[in-house]
Amino acid sequence: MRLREIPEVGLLARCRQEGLAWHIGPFSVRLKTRLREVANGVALLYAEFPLAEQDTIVDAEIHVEREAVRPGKVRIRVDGIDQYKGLRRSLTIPLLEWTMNVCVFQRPHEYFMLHAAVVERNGRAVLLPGRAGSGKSTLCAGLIHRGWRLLSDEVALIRPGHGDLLPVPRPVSLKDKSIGVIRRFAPDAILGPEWPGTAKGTVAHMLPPAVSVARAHDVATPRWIVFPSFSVNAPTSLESIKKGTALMRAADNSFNYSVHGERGFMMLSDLIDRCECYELTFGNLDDAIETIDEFSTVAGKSPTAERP
Amino acid sequence: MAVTEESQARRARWRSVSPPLVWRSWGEDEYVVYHPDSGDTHLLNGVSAEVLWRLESGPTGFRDLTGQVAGVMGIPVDTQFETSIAKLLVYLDSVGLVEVQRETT
Repeated sequence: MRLREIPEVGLLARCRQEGLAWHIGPFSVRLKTRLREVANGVALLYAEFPLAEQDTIVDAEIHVEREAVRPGKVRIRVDGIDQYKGLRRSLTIPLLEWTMNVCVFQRPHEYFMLHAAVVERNGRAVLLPGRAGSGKSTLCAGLIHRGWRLLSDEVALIRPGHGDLLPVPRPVSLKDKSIGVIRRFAPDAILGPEWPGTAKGTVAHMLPPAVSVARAHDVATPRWIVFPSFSVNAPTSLESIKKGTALMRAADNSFNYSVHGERGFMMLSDLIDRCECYELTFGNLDDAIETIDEFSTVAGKSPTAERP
Repeated sequence: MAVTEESQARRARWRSVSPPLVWRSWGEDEYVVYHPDSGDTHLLNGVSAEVLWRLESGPTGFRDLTGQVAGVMGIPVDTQFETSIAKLLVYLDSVGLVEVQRETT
């Protein structure tokens, strides 16, 4: 059963009583809240996601509630610990999404995690490591409307002992001008409400395509690492970068490289081994996607390109 | 205690650290080493890598080290080269990849 199949009345009742639990790739979360707009917001963003059994032991239990002494303010707790306090109620949904990021990024150290968007086609994945402003999410949102499957907008998840990437498809967080860019680029994309006034400007969440959610257990083979660099009006340029440099930059974008110690170094080295590494500078989304399509298609046709 | 002066570097006998560094390279004149003790990862060029390899073979004095590295690179040992190796050793010492072998009495 999926979240969208729960009637609104039942949804709110669940959120207020036993909690609403659902799966996100290998993870599961439970939301408890009495706030109708929060329950409805989650139901919109996670409409295609499978519900978890009520007795599931979840990775994180999230409480969203009004503050007792400041009724206009909201607090978000994860497993009983405050994540945010004194929130403006109008910003609860974007902050809840960032809370979900924290749940995914800071907890499961059984995985190796890079801060990267990941998309896949024909079983082979492109990793797009980058920080805020790099164009990572915009590029990711564009690619998944041009035939690529979303694995994640935020995290490349690798299980030690396996080199493959695990999907964690979640809503794609778009900021400021990238919201309009994606609305024009992919008119069929479903975006949630725009939330102005967050610490990151205006935020809107693009729903992950249903096929990406349905294939949330299909792993992908890492094949390319592309460091995006968005610059207004910049011509599109793709530069191959040395693997040692790529490793250092990827390590810099890891959430838990230091936690894994030598094993992290070996996992990251193995990842670099398997990938061609590029830096992509772009100022136009169509051109950037065309560039990625070109090198990935050429590589797909060349037998030698299959070698790690 | 780390050596901070080039002049000290020139007088010292150098050795690699333990436990051994973990190496990876992809044949592009770039080398990556992981230092298990510090948990730090370093990106090295060919000269730095050559210096570390030499010292992993055993403790070496500055003059012998510069001679060996210059020999591999096919260049003469001159003042400029010695200065660059001395600076490099000071740097590698500061990040914990090499150390001075202290005399024992």
